[in-house]
Amino acid sequence: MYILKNALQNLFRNTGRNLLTAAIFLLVITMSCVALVVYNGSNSMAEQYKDRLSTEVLLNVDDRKVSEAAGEDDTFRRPTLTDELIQKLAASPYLKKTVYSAQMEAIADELKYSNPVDKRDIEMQRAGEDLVKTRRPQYYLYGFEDVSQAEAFQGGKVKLIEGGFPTAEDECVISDTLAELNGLKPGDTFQAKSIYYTDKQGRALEKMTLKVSGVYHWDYDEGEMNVDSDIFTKYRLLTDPRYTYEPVFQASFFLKNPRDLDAFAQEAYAAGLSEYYKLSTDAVAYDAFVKPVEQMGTISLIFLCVVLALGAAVLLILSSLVVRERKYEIGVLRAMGMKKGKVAAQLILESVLIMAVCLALGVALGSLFSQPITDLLLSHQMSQALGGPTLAGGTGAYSFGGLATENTPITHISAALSLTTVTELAGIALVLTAAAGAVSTACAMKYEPMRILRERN
Amino acid sequence: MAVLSLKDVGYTYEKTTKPVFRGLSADFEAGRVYCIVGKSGAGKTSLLSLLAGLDTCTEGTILYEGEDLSRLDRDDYRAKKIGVVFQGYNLLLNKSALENIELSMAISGVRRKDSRAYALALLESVGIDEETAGRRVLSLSGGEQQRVAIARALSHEPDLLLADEPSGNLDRVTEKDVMKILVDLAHSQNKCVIIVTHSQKVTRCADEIWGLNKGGGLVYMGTGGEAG
Repeated sequence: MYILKNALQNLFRNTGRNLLTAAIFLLVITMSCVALVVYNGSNSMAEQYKDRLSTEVLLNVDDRKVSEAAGEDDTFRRPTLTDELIQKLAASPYLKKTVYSAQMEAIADELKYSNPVDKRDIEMQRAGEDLVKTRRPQYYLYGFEDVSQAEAFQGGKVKLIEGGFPTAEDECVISDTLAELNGLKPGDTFQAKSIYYTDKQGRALEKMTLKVSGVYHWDYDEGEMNVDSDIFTKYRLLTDPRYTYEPVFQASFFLKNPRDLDAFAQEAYAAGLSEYYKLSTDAVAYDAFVKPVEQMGTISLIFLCVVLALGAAVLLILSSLVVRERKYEIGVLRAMGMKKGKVAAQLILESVLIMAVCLALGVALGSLFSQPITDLLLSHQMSQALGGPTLAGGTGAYSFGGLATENTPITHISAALSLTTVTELAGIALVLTAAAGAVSTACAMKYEPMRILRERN
Repeated sequence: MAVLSLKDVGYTYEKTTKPVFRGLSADFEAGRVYCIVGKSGAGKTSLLSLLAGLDTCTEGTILYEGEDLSRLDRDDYRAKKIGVVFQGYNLLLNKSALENIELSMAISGVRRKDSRAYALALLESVGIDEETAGRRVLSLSGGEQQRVAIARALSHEPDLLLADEPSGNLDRVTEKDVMKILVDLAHSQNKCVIIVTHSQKVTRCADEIWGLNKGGGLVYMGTGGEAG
């Protein structure tokens, strides 16, 4: 008990020396707190972001290779993705999710439309296919599993202003312009059909009856093209062979990690994907959004290591100097019969008391500075990243009919102090105190009381 | 039985070959005041350090109540069995006089309900009043520090009191008072008091005077009365 009393007396009586030690402890703890909060915050954010990041695999037919092949072989047919193949690919362990979509160029002669389109028939020939009779499209139908997940709606510029998103396969969402021109409201129906008269096999295509489930409004920016003619519906309707020349059926595959692209590609080719397909990914967005946050974590970790190394070095030197300064006091205590262990305990106790106060203050100060520093680092990192390579589609630009990639930049990292951070700081404080205490003790133990007192006297 | 016995004790500083003294033999008994005198450099303070358990003799043995001092827990010995008044006082400078006494009592494990009152009374007995007792040692005069050092040496009621020039900084009146305390300790409380001194006045109070010769032994020189 007297050791505690003595330690407390010493703390208050040698304020200069103790304030210097406290200032260093406080600095180390505050900086460590900031570094740990930034590190834990950015790590957690990077993990969360990776988890919800949609790294879409872009499956595109290599048109140049297809043209070359068609030129060499008249029987060559453009490769397509079959339902069976899509299902095989969708089962890949490298994928986080698969989103299905389809599109169709359509006409609806019974509807009025704002942009007049030539209604005469035209002939069209696709690579490697026969000449077919079509019309110019008046409308573009986009089909999704869940229309609300379409990039147009996810981006926020297109808003549903009436009704709801389609739930049944024949339901659709139309633009407010189209609704006004034709007096359509939710629950009304209209007919539409593909621009083709027949399917690929020459069978006549039927008209689809679409039921309006909702009406959207698009806030055009100046110079943006009017796309009132976009109609959103369920993808199954557009892949129904009764209505489509050839289902332009799409499946968007989203990787768990963009680094898995090669592995996924190998799997896809092995499953039967045509060699004319190229696989690419939205890795730029991943690198642009996750990497800066991961780099922030690395920077803060390096900063923490530097602070701890420097702080520990200064504290150890200071501890040995303090003990040298207190040599006489140690000599007197030992001459009075105080055991070495108790002298050491007192020195350590003084360090512990200083550290306890500094830990509390440092945590408070650190949490105060953490958020502004995190914001500053994040803004710097993101501005560097976004000023770099051009991002792949879907990360900034909106394109109707496309799927939302969900890859929006990280704009905020919460720098809240967690129990984990406090525990880590307490651990750091403990290690520093133990190191300082060990140096003090080692120095103090070297001193023989008689020698100290003889030198003094 | 002697409280402290020297058996052919010799001491040589580390890294030197010439002994400070050698062949010292003497018995120090309870209830008596001993004075050790000698010229400067004769090794008086070194001898006191050996008796205080702060150092170990390089030759011979020192027995405390029949036990070899080198085999005893010397921390315990210093804390509980002996009181030392150092020449340079060796007080804790950042503490008050009272706190020095209280800490000494705490280290020696003395449990008193009224430890503060006891410490104040002890200080009072060496001429330190309550107000002075509360002041930091550093602000006290040399004489006051010496009195505090004496009070500290007595604080845990040791069997053996060692004092190195205990009256060196005291005025004549206080020196007389301090010596009276030391003599009373020996004669009334049956303690063994060993004083290293140059002062003839101090030697007059001694029951036995021993002379320490440089490089040589300890020689009995008579009683205080004879010396005077």
